[in-house]
Amino acid sequence: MNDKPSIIPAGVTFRGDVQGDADLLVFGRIDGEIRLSGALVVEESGSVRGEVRARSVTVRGVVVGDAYGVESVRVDDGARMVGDATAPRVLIVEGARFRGRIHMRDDGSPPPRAPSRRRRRRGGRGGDDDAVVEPTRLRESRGGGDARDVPPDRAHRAERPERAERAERPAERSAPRRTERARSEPAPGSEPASEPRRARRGPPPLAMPRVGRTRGQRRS
Amino acid sequence: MTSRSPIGYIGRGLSLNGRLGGEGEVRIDGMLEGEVDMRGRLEVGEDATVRGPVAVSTAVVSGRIHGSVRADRSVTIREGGRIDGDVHASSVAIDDGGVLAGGVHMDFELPDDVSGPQGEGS
Repeated sequence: MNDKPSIIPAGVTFRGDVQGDADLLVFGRIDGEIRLSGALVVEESGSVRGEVRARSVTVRGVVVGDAYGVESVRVDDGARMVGDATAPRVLIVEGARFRGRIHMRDDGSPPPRAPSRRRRRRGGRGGDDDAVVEPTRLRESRGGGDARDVPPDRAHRAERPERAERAERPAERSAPRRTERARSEPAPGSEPASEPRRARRGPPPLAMPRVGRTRGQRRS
Repeated sequence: MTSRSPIGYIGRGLSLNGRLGGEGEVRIDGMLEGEVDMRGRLEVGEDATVRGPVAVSTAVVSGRIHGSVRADRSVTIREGGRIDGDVHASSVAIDDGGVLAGGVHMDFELPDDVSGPQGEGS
């Protein structure tokens, strides 16, 4: 912000949380949460695992986690991102690989804490664009996570389950969600809620099971 | 390290909480709390504060480090710089105006005729 941008160079890894009033370029790697009032750029060689919040978020490398941009989130050609993107302007450039939901807000308000949940509740479907809904299998991104905090309505996210990926997912991850789902809106191929534990094994019909979980955990 | 990547920089407005690792060169003008365990050079700028143990190849300190500093090569405390903690390095320099509140651990040999009760450094 003030002067030259901060840089995590290639070869350097930071584990932990980053915050402040600065622009940050990531050529290396950050595992943890990033909150900036400046711009965040994850460069080609860079990767970030964790929730990122910045004035603008540009992904050229890899981001696994939800991204919130006060102004914009941009996923460039060649970039890979798994997570929800929330910003007034969300750009997915052709050639980018993206898995997650898109929330475009035009009210200019600061990114809500759990936008997807609220939106779901109030607006129901269609308020937001369910741009991309695909199963995720980045289990490592949520290492050790449990799904306590996953809102039930997240269960509805899964519109297009894909068996291969579902099967691979670690059981505990999808369990709670699974149960919720079974209760509220049995999905094709889902098992009855009466057998929630076992149900974990089955193909959870959820699209983005992990996205948002980190957020929930961190906040609690 | 990619040739394309510039050196690392933690700017004034930034604060990191965690562990900085890997290999490279980093200058800190902001805050880092946690740990630095990195191969390469670490520069702690005038207004920077680092809390936690530091292990690097080379450290140049113009700001403050609260914690021990271990360097494969050298540690330099510049004018205005301060380390509260022990310094382990084969080469240590404290410039005029630099402060070290702690011990210096340097390995070296003494000439045979003087190595007596004091022996070599701890």
